[in-house]
Amino acid sequence: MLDHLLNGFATALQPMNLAIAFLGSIIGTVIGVLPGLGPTATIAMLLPLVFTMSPVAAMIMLTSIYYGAMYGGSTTSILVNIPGESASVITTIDGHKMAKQGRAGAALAIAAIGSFIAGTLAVMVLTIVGKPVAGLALRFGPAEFFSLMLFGLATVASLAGGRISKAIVTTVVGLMIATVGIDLVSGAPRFTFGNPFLSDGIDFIVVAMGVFALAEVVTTAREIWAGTQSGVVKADKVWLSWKEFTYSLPAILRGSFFGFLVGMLPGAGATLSTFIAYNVEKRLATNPERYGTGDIRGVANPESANNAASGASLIPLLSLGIPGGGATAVMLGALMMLDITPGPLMFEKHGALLWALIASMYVGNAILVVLNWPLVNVFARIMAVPARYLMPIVLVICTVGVWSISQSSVDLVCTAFAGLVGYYMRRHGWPVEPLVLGLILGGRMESSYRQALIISKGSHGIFLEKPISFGLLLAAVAFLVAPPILARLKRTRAIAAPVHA
Amino acid sequence: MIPLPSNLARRAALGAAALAVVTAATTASAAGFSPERPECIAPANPGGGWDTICRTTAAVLQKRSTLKSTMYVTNMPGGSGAVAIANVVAKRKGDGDVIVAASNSLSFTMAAGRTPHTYADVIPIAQIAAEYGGFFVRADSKLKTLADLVATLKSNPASVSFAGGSAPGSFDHVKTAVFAKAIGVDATKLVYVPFQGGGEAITALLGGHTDVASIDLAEASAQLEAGKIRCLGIVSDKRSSKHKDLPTTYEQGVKVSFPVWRGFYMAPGASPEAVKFWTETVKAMVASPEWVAERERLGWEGVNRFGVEFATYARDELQRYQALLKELGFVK
Repeated sequence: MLDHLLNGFATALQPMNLAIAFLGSIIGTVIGVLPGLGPTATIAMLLPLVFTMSPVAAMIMLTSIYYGAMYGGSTTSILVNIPGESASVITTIDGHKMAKQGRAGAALAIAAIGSFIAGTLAVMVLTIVGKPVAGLALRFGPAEFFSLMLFGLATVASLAGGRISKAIVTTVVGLMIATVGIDLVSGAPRFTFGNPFLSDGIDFIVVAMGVFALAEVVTTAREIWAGTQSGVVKADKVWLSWKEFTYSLPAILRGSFFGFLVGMLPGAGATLSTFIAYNVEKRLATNPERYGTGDIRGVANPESANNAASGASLIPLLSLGIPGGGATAVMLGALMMLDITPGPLMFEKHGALLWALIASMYVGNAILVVLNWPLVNVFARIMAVPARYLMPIVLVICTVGVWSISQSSVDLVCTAFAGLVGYYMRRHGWPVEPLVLGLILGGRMESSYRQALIISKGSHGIFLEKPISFGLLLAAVAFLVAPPILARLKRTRAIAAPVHA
Repeated sequence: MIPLPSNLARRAALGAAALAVVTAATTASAAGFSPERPECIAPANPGGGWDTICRTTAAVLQKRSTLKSTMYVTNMPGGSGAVAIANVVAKRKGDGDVIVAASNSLSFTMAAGRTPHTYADVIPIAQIAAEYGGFFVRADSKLKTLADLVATLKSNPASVSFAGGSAPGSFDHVKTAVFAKAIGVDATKLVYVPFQGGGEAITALLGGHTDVASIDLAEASAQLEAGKIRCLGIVSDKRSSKHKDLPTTYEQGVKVSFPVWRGFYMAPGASPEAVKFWTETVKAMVASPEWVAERERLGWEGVNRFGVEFATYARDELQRYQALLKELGFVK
């Protein structure tokens, strides 16, 4: 295996392939930074160009774009409170607060370092145990998926910071938005009002640009108007301290672990992994109350998780020939167009290509960290741009991003509406993140639920009989029930034994 | 291309009248039609079946230098073809430069009433290939032959779960239902589990979550080759020319054939010269060695129909599907 990998490196390090990985990383970073443009859409747009390349070059290009987008996605989350793509939603919570406290540089730096560590760990695991681990992905049928997603939604309750009822309401609103479009299980169009542009549902970007970007722009405008805007944030120090790094390291490692685990399951994807990792982290870490107030671990953890997940999502694609998340589904299409049928025999038939691809993922991670090093400084200065100049630019970029999805004015109307709702939510203390997670998971969760019930012929027992599903349901219940109980225990213990300080 | 405000296009009577004049004027000046900006609309994302039709066509036409300029491929995903047909009917009336990829999936979208349009609203021009789907099981499945499947279904139609890559009332499901009908089993009693695409369906099969996958041959071929799954039968009267070792339903005594065709339609109001140009161009293309090589690589069969013959075929198929969906309870 080692010589396969070394051969792969020999191919990946050829000047031409290195240049392509570099180019892909830049494109990926740029689209990751631009809100509205996600990796899936970009890879789809660039496929025709990629065609003209050799298969090795094409695959290196696509994976480096994918990786780059995962790196870049955190930038706007941190700087302007707008997630660049769905896997960076969680990063807004602590990341933007850090930026407001003048620590944008540290947040951007830890996002890059966490991504590098997680990305490299994920590729290493992929290299060593890819095939046996892939078998686990097959264990996840409809019942297991439903329970996993329910678990994901259950963890969200802790995002709300005590306002569990509000989090549940917004989650349900997200789930409701997810029902728009042609229902997979019955084939019937729902809430489309006969408009074909709604038949594929409402895209995450359409809603996210409204509830995050528009709401941010309107909020800022209001602050400027009312004269309460805090003005330009002074960055006290740009770089990250060694202490901050060691403080974040456990969060990075745990984020990588959960990111990898969830990312490997076909269809679960990077976004769910960030939600799960962040909320599990809040339970495991010391001083959990600091999360949500601009804690650096709150950036390190989800950014590690999404990069580990994007590496892991290639496992089912490469070892079983089944697509993982959104972007890997497009890559599967690309492989087919290059006359490589993804499947269990892919390593036997196209081993050289795949090992070159894996090697290029190591190289890509290194390129990205080198690329992002100087960029941290540049991006951190964006915080010094007065809001009255920055916000109109943000507005334009987001509008273009939404338009680029399917050139549909219906999408723009939906974004505007989501913006109004998002602004209202913000002003009245409703958490936005559960809505987004509900929207992202809703479709798959509903179809998994109904697929499981079709298989079991209507019996809900299927969710309890399958061990993985049962375990996940127990974990979901524990997440909802445990916090109040633990809090009470802590209180009684605190009374019984005063803290030795 | 005729610039046309889209609100005008929506005013049917006025629009059509104005168009007739404009079209007549332009076509009169362009005697030997040749598209200035040839375009193929793929009503799906890159990588899917419709996209493959457009890109392969563009590549072959490029290789044969049939067109004066390179053919653009535009991806217009949404609603299994509904978005693209709505767009073409509303905004591209009379545009002779554009062809749109189509297949039975579009017929199902029409039959289920998910688009207000039918083939009568556009100009079907050519059917260029067909492929077949089949029934696949895990290598260690108790079902060894099609006869085993038939016997099991006959004793209890709900005892076998089928995984398909599309919603009920679409291709994978109707294929299964037609098969059930042919063996005298009530199709409404089948356990059909819809997944988002053939890839997910085969994943559910491999993981043992369903018993049979009812998907396209192309979607199953990699797993077949690896010996992870077996084919009980291709739903066809003829064996696949790429996978000659796979048995068909016909040869196992079940007389059903269910091809997935690939083809093109043009925007309504395109000039007769433009229609003639594209029909001849596609006809010449499918006869070329470059095309045959591509088609065989993709595992598609050479099934061709043009012009009126294809339009009639598409219309009849649509009626057949409408009747089928009614019978299955999908359309009232």
